Amino acid sequence: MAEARGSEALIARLSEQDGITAEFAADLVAALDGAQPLELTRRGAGVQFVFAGRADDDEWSGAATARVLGLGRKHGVRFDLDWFPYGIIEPDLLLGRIRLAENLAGPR
Amino acid sequence: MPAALQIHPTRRCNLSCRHCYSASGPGVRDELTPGLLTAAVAGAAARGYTALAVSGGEPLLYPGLPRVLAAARLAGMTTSMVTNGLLLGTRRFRAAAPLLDAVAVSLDGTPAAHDALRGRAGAFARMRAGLGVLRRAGLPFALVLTLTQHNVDQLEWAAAFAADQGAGLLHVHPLEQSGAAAVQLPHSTPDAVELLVARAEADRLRARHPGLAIHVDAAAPAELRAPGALPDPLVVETDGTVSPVRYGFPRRYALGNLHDRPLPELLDAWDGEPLRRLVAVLPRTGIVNVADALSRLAEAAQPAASTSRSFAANSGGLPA
Repeated sequence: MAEARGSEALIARLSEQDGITAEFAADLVAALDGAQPLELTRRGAGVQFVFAGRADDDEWSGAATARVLGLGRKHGVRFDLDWFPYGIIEPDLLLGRIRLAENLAGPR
Repeated sequence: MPAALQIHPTRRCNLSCRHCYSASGPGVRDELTPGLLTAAVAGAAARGYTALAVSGGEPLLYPGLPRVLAAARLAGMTTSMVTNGLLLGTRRFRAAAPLLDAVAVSLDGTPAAHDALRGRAGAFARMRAGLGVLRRAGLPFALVLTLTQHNVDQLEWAAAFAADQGAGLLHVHPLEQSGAAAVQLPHSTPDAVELLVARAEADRLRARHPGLAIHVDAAAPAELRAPGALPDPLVVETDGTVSPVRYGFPRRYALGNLHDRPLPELLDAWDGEPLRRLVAVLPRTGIVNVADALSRLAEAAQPAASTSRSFAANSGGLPA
């Protein structure tokens, strides 16, 4: 069997540290099909998930946004999703950031 | 950035690491004479190279090390070496220490991962003991971590270890598919995703360890620089070959051999245009290990006479 990617082990560990269920993390990654998960970590009382996506593909980012919002309904949570450029990634990649605000019920 | 002369005076080593790019080991006896190297160091300094980095093999197994370091100091260069850390408690290191400005020590992850890649139980413990020697000597030191396809999740541990040990820098260098690694660790060179995650992890870990610099040898397109008038780094390999970019770079791009001509003559005769062409056709998306990407491009390129046509066919045309 092929040895696992280090990034997969990293995401799994960060998810576990932050009390995020593996199911939610897996659903997020699936919803962002084509993106690369970078970080899933607690920010204050909230949770932040950062990923890299394709900035040159509006269709993809729109569809991913819809899937992520649908994921919120499935798990019974609301969260903010925004896209922002990130200095080290260019020109065709950007970062997405999902923030689960502290006054919202996060997946626990 | 100082222009760096990187020398590999010996391939002799007290370890046979699975990921060694130069396939060094205890049974290898190749080495350059101190006289040849001191002349090269003086010649490089005269041409503007300001930093000498000694690698190997294990530099502390090279009897001429103090002499070469002294020549660099005399020429006004800063000096450093990359070591596996096992011999830092020896007389050989005590002889070299006053001639060194900094030391880089190899680290391959957690103790178990380190010993596995090094092929020797206890290698991590001895390396860690060596770090104590560096602290007591007051020598600044870095830890050099080899990034593979499988270990970016160990950066967090490595940064904490480096900070705890008093390192000033954690240098993350992607595995190169050459030497022993090409045979023993196929398919382990980190791809663009792992390089990207390593950069993001480094950002996160810098915030956690503000006193520790963390550098990842992975560049975004905007960070690529065209090669200058002289190769930087300039690499002297153990067989005397003088190469740009890195140890083992395809020979067609080499400047020549120290056994044939002195270093200043090789520099005078160097045509940097083929290397500039390679840089020009590097992928313009994603994150790359520049040295590795250039090596692969160079290996794939056709012989010099048809180089331009080949690149034009493969890349949609060369930049003007």
